[in-house]
Amino acid sequence: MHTDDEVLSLKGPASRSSGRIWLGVSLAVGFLATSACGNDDITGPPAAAGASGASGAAGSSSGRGGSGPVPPVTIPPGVNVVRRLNRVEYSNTVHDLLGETLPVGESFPSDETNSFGFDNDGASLNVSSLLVERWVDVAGRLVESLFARLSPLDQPFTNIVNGPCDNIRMGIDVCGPEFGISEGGFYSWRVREDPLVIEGLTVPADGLYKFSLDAYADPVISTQNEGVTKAGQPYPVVLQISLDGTGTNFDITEVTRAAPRTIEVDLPFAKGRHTVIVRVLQNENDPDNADDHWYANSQWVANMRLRGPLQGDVATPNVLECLPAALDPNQCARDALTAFATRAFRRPATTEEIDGLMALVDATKARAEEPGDDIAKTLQGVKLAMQATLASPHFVFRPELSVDTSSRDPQPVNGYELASRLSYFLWSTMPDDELFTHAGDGTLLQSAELTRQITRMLQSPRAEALVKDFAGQWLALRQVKHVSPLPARFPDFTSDVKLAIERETSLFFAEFLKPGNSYMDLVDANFTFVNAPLAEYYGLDSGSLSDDAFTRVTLPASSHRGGILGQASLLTETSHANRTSPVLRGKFVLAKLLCSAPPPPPANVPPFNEDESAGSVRQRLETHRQNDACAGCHTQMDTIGFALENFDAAGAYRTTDDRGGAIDTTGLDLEGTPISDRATLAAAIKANPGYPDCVVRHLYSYAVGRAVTLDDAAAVTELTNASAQTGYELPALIEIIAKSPAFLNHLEGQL
Amino acid sequence: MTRPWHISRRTLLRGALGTSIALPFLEGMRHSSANAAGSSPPRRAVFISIPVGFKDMTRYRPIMQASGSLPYTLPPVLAPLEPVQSKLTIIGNLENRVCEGGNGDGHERGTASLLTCQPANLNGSVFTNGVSIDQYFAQRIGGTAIPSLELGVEESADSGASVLGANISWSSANSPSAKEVDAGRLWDRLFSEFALSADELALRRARRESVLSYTRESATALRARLGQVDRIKLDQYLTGIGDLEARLQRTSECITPIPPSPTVKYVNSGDPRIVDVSGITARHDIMLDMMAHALACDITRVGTFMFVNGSFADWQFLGINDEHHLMSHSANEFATELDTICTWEMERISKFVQKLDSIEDTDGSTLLDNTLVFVSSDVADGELHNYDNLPIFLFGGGNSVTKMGQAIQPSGERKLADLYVSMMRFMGVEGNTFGAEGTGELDEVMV
Repeated sequence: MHTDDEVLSLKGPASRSSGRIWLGVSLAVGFLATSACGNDDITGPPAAAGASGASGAAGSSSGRGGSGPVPPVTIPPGVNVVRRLNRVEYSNTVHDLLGETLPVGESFPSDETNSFGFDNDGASLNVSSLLVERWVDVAGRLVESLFARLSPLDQPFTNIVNGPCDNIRMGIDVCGPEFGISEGGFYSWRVREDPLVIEGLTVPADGLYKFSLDAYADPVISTQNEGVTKAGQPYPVVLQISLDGTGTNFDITEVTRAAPRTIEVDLPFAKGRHTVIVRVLQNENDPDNADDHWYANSQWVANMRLRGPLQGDVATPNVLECLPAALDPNQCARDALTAFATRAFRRPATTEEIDGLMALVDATKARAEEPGDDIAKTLQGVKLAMQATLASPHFVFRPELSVDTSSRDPQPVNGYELASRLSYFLWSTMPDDELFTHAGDGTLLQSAELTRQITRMLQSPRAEALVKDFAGQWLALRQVKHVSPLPARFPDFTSDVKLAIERETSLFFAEFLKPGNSYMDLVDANFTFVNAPLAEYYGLDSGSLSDDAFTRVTLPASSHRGGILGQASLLTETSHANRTSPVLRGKFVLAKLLCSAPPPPPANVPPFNEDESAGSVRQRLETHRQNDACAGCHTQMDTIGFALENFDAAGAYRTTDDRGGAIDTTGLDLEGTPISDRATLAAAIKANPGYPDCVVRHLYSYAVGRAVTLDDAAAVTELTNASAQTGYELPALIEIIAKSPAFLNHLEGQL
Repeated sequence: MTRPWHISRRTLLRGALGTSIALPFLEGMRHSSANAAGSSPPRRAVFISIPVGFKDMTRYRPIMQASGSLPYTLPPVLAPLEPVQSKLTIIGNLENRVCEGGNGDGHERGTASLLTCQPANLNGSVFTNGVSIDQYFAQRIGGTAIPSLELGVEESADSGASVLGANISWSSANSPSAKEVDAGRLWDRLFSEFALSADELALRRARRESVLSYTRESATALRARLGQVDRIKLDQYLTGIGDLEARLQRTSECITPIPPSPTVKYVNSGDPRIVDVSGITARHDIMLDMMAHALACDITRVGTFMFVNGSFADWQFLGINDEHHLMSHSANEFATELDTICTWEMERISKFVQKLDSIEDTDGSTLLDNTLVFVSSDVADGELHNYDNLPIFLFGGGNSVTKMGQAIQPSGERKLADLYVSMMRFMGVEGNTFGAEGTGELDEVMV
């Protein structure tokens, strides 16, 4: 393992030796199947240097209400393909590494998913030429943006040009028709359809910028009912500030000359030229513009200003703080690049790597065309070296270099590699400082510390990644934003409800990431999270609820809701816009909850007609069963789907189907268990051993970044048994997986 | 083609530095065609896939008479193709059933194999497919700033698209070629260098070269330390670096004005500076328009374009409220909707083909005459998921592959791959076989 020495050359020998010791032990557990071994037996070295005391009693606290250590499992690793960062991981990583404020990963080609629906799958994460080009480009833009955030611009727009927007100074003047100027320097304009335009506005780097202005409306009171304005009310004035067509609205109807209001909006600018437009909106509640006296009002603005790029919630690291006063600019650059590359590569950068980066600095200084003095050229060189770091395969991939790639045996990953495996599993981002510390001193490789870190990580806000990225894909929550029940048919399904249903299931799932909740109850728990609009939609008491904040509520026994099967997110994403699809609902349950997805329909088979016009639930089921080629799969799918027919395509409860006929679900059964509605379907799922097995399959697939296959059957069984012993709790299952030989070891793939 | 293109760029810059310039600022830029006129234009090929087949093939296919019969009447759903009918040939009786040996559902199989004519599989942790015909051409033509252009309009991430379902273009057996779906980014990629002065461009390229050099060395060293499977990924990375390095040496010349940057997204009637690019129709038209300009600027000679994927649901601008794919599974219930979508698709294609036909090439013919535009789908009938009698539309080519303006029915069923073999001659590429089964030209229908 000579490679180990290169990679770890910048840190002490402690972690390497602990890794070696741990190798032997974990292999013994993994491949001799000594299942009698307790948790402490895989702990590894008693206490590596500098880590004494780290393996105390707290080590077994997984947060499961004081229960003991999680049972060890022997599951062997599957093949580990070198994984690149996916879009989410890239965005999160540069956010943590650079303080980046924009989700830049979204500018990359889409990541594709495996058969479990996950976009962190090693086989599916390919690298196209287009992606490489984006990586190189974005790396440069990220560095520019970082330095721009360290010295943001603050640009006022004071010169307003009357008349058409010709002959104005690009990015400095504001143009617009027929301006008036008040004593206080406020501007107004008469023709409201014409916007105030700041054109050709050039910003130095990508980022969030704050556009601000002061405004008032001088409200005019209507003397009569006119359009949507009633007598005695002021005509409405709504300012819209838009960047390249995406606008934010501010109602200034009530704002008076005596007390102008400062309006601020954070706008995401890409480097380059843009147009900001300030205009007055027509009243959106008055589509016919019947309120034709709205011209009567005037609006006044002043002190327009653009500041940015702004800092985000992670401070932008001042990577070259040493440079302006540096006696030795080269040493400053070397120190800066060493620190930067070590974080970017998520392990100590090697001397050779830093030499290579410094060669970029030297080349920049030697390049005749580069402008500026030695300091300026050094700065430019470091920027290029940082771009190269971010475009490097050691940043965009997560190679595990401590192993001997010629070996066909599983080998333990080192501390840094384990830290990355953990942080991308639980947080979808790079390790934080604490994880790095425990990776560097080797303590992360000890069971007790590993437990402590997992517990800490699950309690961190960053663990929301498990909701967004794991549940978001497992339960297809990412697709809820695309649902569009036909408004004419489902008028109660408002945009507020649509926003709420995704949030409901996210918050609901997040509860199961806390100790004390069995994921068996995901399918029928008697609680959920609602805001006022969703409570009303569900027919729950909304009296004390907020329109915005979500509250955990216990569902009354009379409620038709309970668990994800009764949540509108699942019910709408498995429906057509105008009607339910028992087939899609059945397929969802089979694929996502029971891992027995039916095979795709064979070619050249005449289609079903699942439209309600084809008859009642029962009639259609009978029709399906008549076709032998389809009956096998569709009987099961349709049965499950019909049990949920009491929920319409918008997820609302109903007692009659779209034809107005009764919903007759008697006599259905799922593998022998009678089902007739949501509750009995949920009970049948919970009673089905395929359900916990399927949860395990999905989480395990997500954790190891590959599709779990038939070869993993024994591993899944073992994990499921261990999960049963720990009350089917997700935190325990996560810990079991994270401590398994599969997670702690690397197995090289062979062609 | 000797005139240095940066001269026209300087002319442009003078405009940009002046005080009066309207967006889009590159609109007025043209290359001088004087030097290029009369030279032999390059041959190009574009492959377009539309999703989930057709509702009912007999309904969408003109009545197939004896081979070569002229003229024919387009059915109503194909009416948008009438203006280009004289440069269109519809070919029947081609099948790509070889894809049935692949993994995935009916649409994934058909998509992954549409241009490869080989079954696509996931073997362990490695995908295996063939090289697609567009990449086959790109790898043999070379010499342009970008070897090939893969475009689409829709993110596949949120819809859970698989590798097999999301990619028609494969640069190697293991490597799908991702597509750009954002018009603004595409414009930057294709045209932003035209806005730089020669000095700015030289500095930019020198800096980029040093960054690429570092990443190449880094990846080469890393590759040597990795195992066989991981080396596939590093090879993909190094291919991308190689494409960027090659571009540093290349410049492009246009026979059309550079199109405007489509990043401006206002909706404001009456203001000509404000263009709505947010609608799905506009997104198709703009991407295809930029494809045409990329060909016209000889930035590339090979392209693919995938229509919005079958899970797209926001058809309300057509008065439709459901997912295309879901509707295709209930085709009788949604007959009107599926017809409407088909006609809308044909409008997009017709507009693109007409655009190509409106651009005069260096020899006085049109860009379309020197381009083959192939259009088909992952399946023939969206309900049946079948791969025989595929819908095949072939535009352009100046009658040098097949005589255009026909509806052709080969007398017996033939392989789709044979059509690709026939296209090789047009593209000036050697070869008598393609994919798993293509063994020769479609001699019966070819000129």
